[in-house]
Amino acid sequence: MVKKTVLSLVCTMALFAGDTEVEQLKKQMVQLQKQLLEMQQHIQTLEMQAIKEEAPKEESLETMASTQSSSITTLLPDIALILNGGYTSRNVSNTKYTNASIPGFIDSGDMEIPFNAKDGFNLNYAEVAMSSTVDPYLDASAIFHIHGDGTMEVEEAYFVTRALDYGLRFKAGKFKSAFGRVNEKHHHVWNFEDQELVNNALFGPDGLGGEGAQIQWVAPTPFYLMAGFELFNGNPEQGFSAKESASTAVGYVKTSADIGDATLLAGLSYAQGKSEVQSLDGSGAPIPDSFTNYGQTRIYGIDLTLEYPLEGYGSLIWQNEWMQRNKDVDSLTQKQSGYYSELLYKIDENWATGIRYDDIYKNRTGDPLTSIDNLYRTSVKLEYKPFEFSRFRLQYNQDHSKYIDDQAKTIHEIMLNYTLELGAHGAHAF
Amino acid sequence: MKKIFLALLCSLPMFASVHVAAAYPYIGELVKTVAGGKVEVSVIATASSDPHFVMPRPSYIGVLHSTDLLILNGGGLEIGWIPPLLAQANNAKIIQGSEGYLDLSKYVKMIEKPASLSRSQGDVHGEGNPHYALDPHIMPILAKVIMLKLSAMDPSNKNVYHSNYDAFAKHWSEKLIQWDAEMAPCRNTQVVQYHELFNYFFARYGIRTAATIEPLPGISPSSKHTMEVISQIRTDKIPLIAQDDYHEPKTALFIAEKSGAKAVILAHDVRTGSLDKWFDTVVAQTCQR
Repeated sequence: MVKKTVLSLVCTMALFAGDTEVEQLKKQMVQLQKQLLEMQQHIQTLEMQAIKEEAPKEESLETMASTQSSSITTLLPDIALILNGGYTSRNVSNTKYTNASIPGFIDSGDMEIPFNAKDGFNLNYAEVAMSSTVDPYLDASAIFHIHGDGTMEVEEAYFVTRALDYGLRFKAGKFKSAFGRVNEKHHHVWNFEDQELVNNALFGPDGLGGEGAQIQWVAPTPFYLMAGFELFNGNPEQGFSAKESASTAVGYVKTSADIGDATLLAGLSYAQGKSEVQSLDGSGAPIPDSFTNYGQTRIYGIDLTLEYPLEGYGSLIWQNEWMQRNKDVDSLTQKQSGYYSELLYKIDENWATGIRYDDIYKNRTGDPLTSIDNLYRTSVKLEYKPFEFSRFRLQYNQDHSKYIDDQAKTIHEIMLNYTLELGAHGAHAF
Repeated sequence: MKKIFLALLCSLPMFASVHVAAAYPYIGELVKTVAGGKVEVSVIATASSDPHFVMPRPSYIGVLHSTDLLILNGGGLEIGWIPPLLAQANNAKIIQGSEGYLDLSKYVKMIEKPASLSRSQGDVHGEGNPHYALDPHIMPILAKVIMLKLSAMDPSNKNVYHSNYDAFAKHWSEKLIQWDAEMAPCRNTQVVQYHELFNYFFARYGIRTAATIEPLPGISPSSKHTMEVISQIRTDKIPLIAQDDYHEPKTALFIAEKSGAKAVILAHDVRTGSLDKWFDTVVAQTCQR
């Protein structure tokens, strides 16, 4: 290009030039041509260098990565807000309901009802959940419940290891025990609006757990096999003594098997802790605030769940859990057993229904007044989920587990609840 | 005896192969193609279930626990089911950020990244549309990423992975010419989808998604919206309704009957057979009218 322009320029100049200058011009032309050639060569070497630099390096994963993928917001913890509330209607007054007892388990006046306590509207809680990776080795989470009456509870706050060897995982802080099937789960993922009866009777409304530490091990087997051990401070609300030093120990083994499309989950759990032995009066009833000795409380649990996926989003789940508590009191060991069985039918993306039967069938407390062994409850529910993060649930309970003014009382209750999940909430396990 | 044991011990590394867990069947197929039996592959999700909501089974933990390399689609597609499984598998090798965690979306330029994120717009993917595997032109990139990853983790079989990849890339480029030609007549047509699941495929072949059967991502069809879709199909003469495998097909069939468009159920992943067959079928279903 450059060469042509220069040449044509030279030529036009030559046309207008006089004869005497022709020789001179010819000389100049030769010189120019020389210079041009040199320049061309220089350009070529430069181009070659450029090509060499542009030549594709050995392609690696780093060079293939798309540049769009970094995101600065991931440094913030995941924050979620979960709202739960609704309308409840039952055939007993609020005062009577809060003073009800479950004979042999929860005395009149000691009943704690965290959800749907009032006949009428209830804001059960606004849950704030935050979780994030701390460093290459730890994740941490905290879950708070702010109740409608303004009280706040730390549901869980713990850290957990990310990358221990040998299939181990360590957790410490305040957290729910993985005893059994439902104990670990938070209210908003419960299958029904209220806690299973046997869990409520044995462990109280917050379930087994508290400040403690946990170690879990996944076995190097081709099928799922997990064992765990936990240690907590004793908590009287969970049926243990608040003795100094951590005294409640929990252990469990969980496994599963795939049978065609169906999944079977099974677990064995055991909890042991100190309990305070109270003196008994003549009739065999414990004398309040008396203390003679520490006894042992042992709780055995078996859980069995069968999940069967149906077409599309549907599924059928049959979930069962059985527990027995052996509690040393003065001269005898109290034996109390119960179970629940629930059948859940997820019809499609939006609709689900289910039925649950709770039963405490053994209640040998040593006290004839509380040794009542036909405590049971039947529940049915219908759920509508317009969206993945919102759910409306209608539930009916026929409750034969409570005593009011020392008299058996059948409680009928209807609850209509909403559960809304906002923000970044992590997925839930099976 | 001692010698035999020693010999066995020494020969172990020769048989040791990389255990790979693939989140979705198509990833499993890619790994099999590239590795050709040199690695063990387990596929977690099935092709018939919603890729966003795979029902977690504890047996997946058993798989993830013994895995050296976990390959994900990424882009938020697995956010609803992989994290809890990964947290419970207690396997340091495959946690996010480690060598054994491969997120394929990091190597793909994703489309439809929303400018703002609100759930009033439904269940929008914040990182863009993650269903990129439906674009057949992206497949060789993914194969190459997998080839490079396997070569890095198992250098002794590097040559095998490279030659398998080269063979695949050559074969796939021929298939691409074929599919591109077969799809060419349908350029500049329109389609109605259930969810924006096949956007990469349709975008590749110049087919515009005019409407979705779900009013917003993750929201079930309403009768009002369904009626709007029917009238839109009639006015714009949209010939095709693309229904996925896992949502109820009733609405799509109803719309087809009322509007005259043809409803087809498209596989979003490899159901049976191969990657070839998957795209052969999708191409035949979407552009043979």
